[in-house]
Amino acid sequence: MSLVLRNIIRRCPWTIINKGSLRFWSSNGQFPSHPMGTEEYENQPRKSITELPDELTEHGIKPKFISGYETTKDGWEWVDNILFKSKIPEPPNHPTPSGWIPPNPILARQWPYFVDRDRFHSYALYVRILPVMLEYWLHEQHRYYLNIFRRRVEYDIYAQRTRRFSLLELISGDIWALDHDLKNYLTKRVELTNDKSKELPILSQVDEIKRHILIDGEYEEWVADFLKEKGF
Amino acid sequence: MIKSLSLTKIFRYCAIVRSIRYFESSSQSSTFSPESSTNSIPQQLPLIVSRQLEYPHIRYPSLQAWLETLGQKRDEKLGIVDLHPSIWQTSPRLDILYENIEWQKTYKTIDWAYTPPHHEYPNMRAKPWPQKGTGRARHKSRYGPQWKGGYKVNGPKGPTSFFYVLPKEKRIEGLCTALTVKLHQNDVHFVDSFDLPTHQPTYLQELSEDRFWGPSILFVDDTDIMPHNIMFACAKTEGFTLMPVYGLNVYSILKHTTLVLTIRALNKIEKKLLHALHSYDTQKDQPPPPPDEP
Repeated sequence: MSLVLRNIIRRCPWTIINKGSLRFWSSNGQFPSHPMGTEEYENQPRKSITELPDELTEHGIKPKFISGYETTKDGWEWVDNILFKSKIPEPPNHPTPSGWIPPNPILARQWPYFVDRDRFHSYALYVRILPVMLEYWLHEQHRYYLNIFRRRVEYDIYAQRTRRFSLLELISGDIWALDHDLKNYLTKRVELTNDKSKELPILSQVDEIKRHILIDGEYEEWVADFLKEKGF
Repeated sequence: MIKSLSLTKIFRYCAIVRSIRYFESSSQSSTFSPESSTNSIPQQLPLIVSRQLEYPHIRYPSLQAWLETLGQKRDEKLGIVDLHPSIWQTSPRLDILYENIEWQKTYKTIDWAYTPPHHEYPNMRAKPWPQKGTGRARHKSRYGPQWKGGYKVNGPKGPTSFFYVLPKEKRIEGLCTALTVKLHQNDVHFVDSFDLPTHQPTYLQELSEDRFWGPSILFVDDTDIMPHNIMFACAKTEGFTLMPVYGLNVYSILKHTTLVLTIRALNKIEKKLLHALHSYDTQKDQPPPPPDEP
């Protein structure tokens, strides 16, 4: 028997083999090679390896359980603690020791814009490393996406690493006013520090359709302080 | 508390009432009775004045819309419905709307184009004319790629599918955007139920004309079992479609000019969308969700 056939039969439960619902490749290429993914295969009750007949196990050797087990219903809380839960718990209404601050709705209503929190009750602030579309000739531009090695990312010469951007999402209201206020705040912070990696002027890109602001540089901590001041 | 609508507006449309009670949806199966002239609206109005919303928004209060009926031709409002701003007052993401529509169009398409390769062509060995002496170009067979009616070397091979599944967050955001767009363009109407007094399609057509509901209307109910009268009326009218909540999609919402929802459908849609917006679900780790309540 060929290696391929042997491997297929090894992985198939015996019920399907006996029923004869296996289909192999034909020369036309019309049938699927393996019933994995079909309903009748996937919904089979899974049996342990010990219950398989000897012909379908490797070299005719079957593992055997050495120790027994006993079932209890105590201690479910320890299991429940570890299980994944899709429901996100509601946070408290006071600041937590980790530095998390709840939003202030009274303060947030003053401004003509509003920055919402994500489903985990955190700021929608992210770091981005963006690619650069090099200037290819027109007849070569399709090659950019085909050639993975030539895909380049913006590089910051002074910092000697890839250029980072900070992204602020989930904005509603007047984006341009937010952009104006953000830039003023960040320029003030930059003037206070003597860090040469932070350059002036602060460049930003406003996307009205996607409702986000992209700032050139890593200003996440300062943007978070700005959002805390505004009560978002 | 109602802030956006004044009391005078409510009294103009609704009867004065002493006690307000929440609306308990009545799923009475309407009998096939063309001569029934009973008024399907109950005596006590308004039916709804407020609605409890899950996951209240920090910044924006709930929106409000009228509750109307299909039970009579006269446009009488039965109450006010609260709408959640996360669904009905989003900043509309037109790029995600476009992606949803493109997905709905292309994920079902299969390109059946097939050009057979050279080994599926007949009689490849015959040389059309001798190599030398005739004055014509030298050819090995009549079915080469340069010949008319010849095989193609790198042509389309077999059915190719364009199936892909758009990420869940984009589909949810697309639905929310479509609903906000419809609401703020005055194309959404909320109705207590789809119980009609007659099965005649002219009743529904004249009703929609009087109220300036567009040529195509999408009626959405929570289950796929609809009353007989509206089923008959929509089957005979071009442009009216009945749909359960599980069939709601961006393409249909934008294709039909107006959208008519029942209160039960609204509850179900809001519950599903809000739970999806405020939970973290990885499909691999989670068991399938429990079956929906009727």
